[in-house]
Amino acid sequence: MIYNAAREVVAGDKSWLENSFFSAWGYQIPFVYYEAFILKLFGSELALKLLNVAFMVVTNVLIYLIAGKCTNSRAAFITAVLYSVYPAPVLLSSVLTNQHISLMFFMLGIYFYLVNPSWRRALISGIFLFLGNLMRPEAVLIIAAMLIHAFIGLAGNFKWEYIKNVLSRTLVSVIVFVFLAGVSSILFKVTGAAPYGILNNCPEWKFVLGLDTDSKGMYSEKNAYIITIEDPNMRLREAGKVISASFEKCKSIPLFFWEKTKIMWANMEITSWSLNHIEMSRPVWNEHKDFTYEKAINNIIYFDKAVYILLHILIFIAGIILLLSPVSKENRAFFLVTLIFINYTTYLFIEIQTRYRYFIMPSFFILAALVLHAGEQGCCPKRFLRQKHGWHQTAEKGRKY
Amino acid sequence: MNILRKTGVTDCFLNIAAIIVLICTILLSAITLYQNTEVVLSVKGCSVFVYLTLLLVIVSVTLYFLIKVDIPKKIYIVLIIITSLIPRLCFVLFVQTPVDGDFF
Repeated sequence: MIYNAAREVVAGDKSWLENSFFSAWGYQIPFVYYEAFILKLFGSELALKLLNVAFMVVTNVLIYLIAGKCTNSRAAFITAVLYSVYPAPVLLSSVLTNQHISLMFFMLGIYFYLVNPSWRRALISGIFLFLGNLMRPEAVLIIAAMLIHAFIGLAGNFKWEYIKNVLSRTLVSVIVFVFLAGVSSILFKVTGAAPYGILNNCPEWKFVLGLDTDSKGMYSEKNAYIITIEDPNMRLREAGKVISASFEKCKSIPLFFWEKTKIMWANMEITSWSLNHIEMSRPVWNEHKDFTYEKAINNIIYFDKAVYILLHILIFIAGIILLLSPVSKENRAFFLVTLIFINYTTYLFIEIQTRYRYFIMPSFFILAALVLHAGEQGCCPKRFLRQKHGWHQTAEKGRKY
Repeated sequence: MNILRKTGVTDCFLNIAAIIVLICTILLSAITLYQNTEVVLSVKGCSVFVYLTLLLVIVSVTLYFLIKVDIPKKIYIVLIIITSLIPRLCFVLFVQTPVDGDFF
């Protein structure tokens, strides 16, 4: 639908804007214009896919750079390579989704916020967060993590110096983001590029889906009539009623959340987005008739799960290391922990799909580097002894508030 | 501000907040780990554990090897670009997902 709208933009046809999909979900419109721009420039969908690849490679390099600042280059390299072979993002690389471009901008925003913070970098961070949000509105999660990270950093640093440097820099990023988001929204409306704006005009819908105990928080059209209610107050009331009815009907609310978490964070990766056109029963090689595409894809999915499990083992250990570390709250890694925590919490309440993990995966990989770094110190006792203040403080070396 | 600093109330509150965030994240990752194992066992995907063992060995060996040799950071970046680019580029070029598979 988005690709077809982009083609209509190139053809000079504006009728797609009247589609109720774009009036309800106005936040999709900037991505349509991005696709239209690339199609106009290169005239081929392949360019969009190749750009996806470029965005993903930049994201991968940013994982290395951020992890390198939290730990060292060796641990960062291993996690970055692990991300590069992690199948889940690769399986999405050929799909025309807004997730690739937005994640790259978000990672740039995080990089400029965390690494060598300064006023200029705070401003740049705000700009990148805005660009990422323009493509896919998920910046609110990063901003919430930034604010929590900055405020928690106050503990033991309740000094004017900290407030002036860290808190105000964080606020600069947020203000730049809010300002640009406001200006762009007005510009899209005024120019007629998005007559109904570029916001989510039915924000309740994600919660109606996410708290539907029948579908376990997954997409279903059962309550789709809510989107057709034009009056926002009435829609909000109706959404509240639907959610209450859903909970009343539910036999066990904790079990619902347990099942929902399992679907979101534990289900096998879905390949249908990019591999739906593949004939599964066909052999990969004519010489080996029994090795079909289905078997090959299943092996990729199993490998994906192995990386995912390894990652969670490492995150669990990283959490314990941070908990035992006295300066953890000041650490860059603590920002990522906060972001992961916010992400987990958010998906308890809104619609879930396994592909929504894509946004948070880089944070998982960066955090995993902490354990590799700690492991490396264990492998090399001489180096470990040289670091008087422990592994976490070496990462903080040179950082001044 | 001075009173708060003297009593340490703010420090204490923020410390507790930091610990809560950390403990919740640890618990959530433990739950996820448990649920993932449950899913793997339910689909009888034992090869996941084989891959996991292989990965652990590869990561450990690579880490050990990297400690021994000093590689410039620029080389690391080039290697990451290559390892990231090859699977994605091959996937895009060979799989040829139809454009109507786009989503939002």
